[in-house]
Amino acid sequence: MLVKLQPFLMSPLIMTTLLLSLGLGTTITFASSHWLFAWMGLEINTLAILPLMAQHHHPRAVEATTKYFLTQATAAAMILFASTTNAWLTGQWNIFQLTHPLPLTLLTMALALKIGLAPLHTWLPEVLQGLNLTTGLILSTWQKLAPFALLLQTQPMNSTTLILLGLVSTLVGGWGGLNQTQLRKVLAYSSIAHLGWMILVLQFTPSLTLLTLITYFLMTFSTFVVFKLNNVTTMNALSTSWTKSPTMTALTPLILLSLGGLPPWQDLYQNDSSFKN
Amino acid sequence: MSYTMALLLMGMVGGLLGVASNPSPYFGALGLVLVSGMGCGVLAGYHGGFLSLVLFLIYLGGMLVVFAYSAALAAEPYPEGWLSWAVAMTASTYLMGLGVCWWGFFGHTDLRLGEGQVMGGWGDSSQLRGETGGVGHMYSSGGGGLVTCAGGLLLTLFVVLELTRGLARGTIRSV
Repeated sequence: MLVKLQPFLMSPLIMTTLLLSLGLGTTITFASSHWLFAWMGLEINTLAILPLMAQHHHPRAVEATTKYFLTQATAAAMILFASTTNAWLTGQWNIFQLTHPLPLTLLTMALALKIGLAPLHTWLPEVLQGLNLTTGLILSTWQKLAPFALLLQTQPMNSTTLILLGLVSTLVGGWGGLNQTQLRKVLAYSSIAHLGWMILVLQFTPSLTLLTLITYFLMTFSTFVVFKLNNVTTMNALSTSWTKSPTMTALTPLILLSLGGLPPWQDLYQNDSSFKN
Repeated sequence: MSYTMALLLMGMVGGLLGVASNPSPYFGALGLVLVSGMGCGVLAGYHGGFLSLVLFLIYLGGMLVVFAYSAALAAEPYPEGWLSWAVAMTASTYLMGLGVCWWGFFGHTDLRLGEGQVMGGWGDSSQLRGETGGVGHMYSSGGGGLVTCAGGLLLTLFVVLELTRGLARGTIRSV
């Protein structure tokens, strides 16, 4: 490879600006009650992560950046379309008061595209595959917060849409991750599956959605960090990572089983409570 | 008047169709010029004269001109216009989508085509209270929003500069 392997390829000033803008975008979306500001926060998030994704100048990274930008821009435009349609229909710009079925369904699909729910998930494995593990971590965790804030606030949502999205996501996430050799693709499908569960329970107990989101963050953060420390991106490399850090490698299955939802870990009880609710 | 408005609206949607059907950037820019021209007329027809002029000046005269220069940098030997098969197929797919939207919007809600005013909801219909009042509000009580937008645009500048930095090591160029 002709490119030197450096952790950061941009000046500290621009890196600070981009990371702070990532924080700012999510904060704006959290704090907003008007759809225009929610959209602005989402766009700031999308823009700020683009140079982080493309910083290694590798064609694969550039391809992932382009795909990410196109899907997120489409989703943001759909959000704007839904909110202006609602303003046309009801005169309301408030996030809580998007209740007409036409813009509500459009908004649900737009937010599903934003976070990568099936059947709007096809961009997620390829995008995650083209990134290094740290940027992939930011994508999988931080970038999901703002759309979820919007999903939690626009209640009540169309029941059929949510159930369909959740069901297909769970199935696609589970089956899609089966025959993968690349760890980042496995993590992408795991993200799709977990998001499916979160969406399924959204209409019944929104606080359970939030709980699942937080625990998913913890589990996926651990997984990404472990992979980063061992510098593994494929199954092959994972199988020889015991030579580098045996204790870490011994403990990694605990994280992975937790992600998989097996007892006696958190995710099982959440899925169980989701069922009961 | 309603005939003019109908023409302008249909021209706008037609231009958007021409842009969305993925022709070469030259033709896409032409479609955008058509869209902004028609959109300017639509805005003017709904008593939004100031916004219509802003659209022409800033969007057409500022951003679209820059886009046309960028499209000139991406010149192709065989540009695909709207008469090429692939572009025509995409356009017809979007036409069908347009039909679906028409059915969904005007068949299932109480919206009607051509309804709405740029100046609606402002009490009197004084010419100064409409969209110009809105612009005034943007600078006074909407100052936070203005600063946020400006901050977002500044961020976009930094993002673009970072993405295109470096001659041969740049992102848009190959490794």
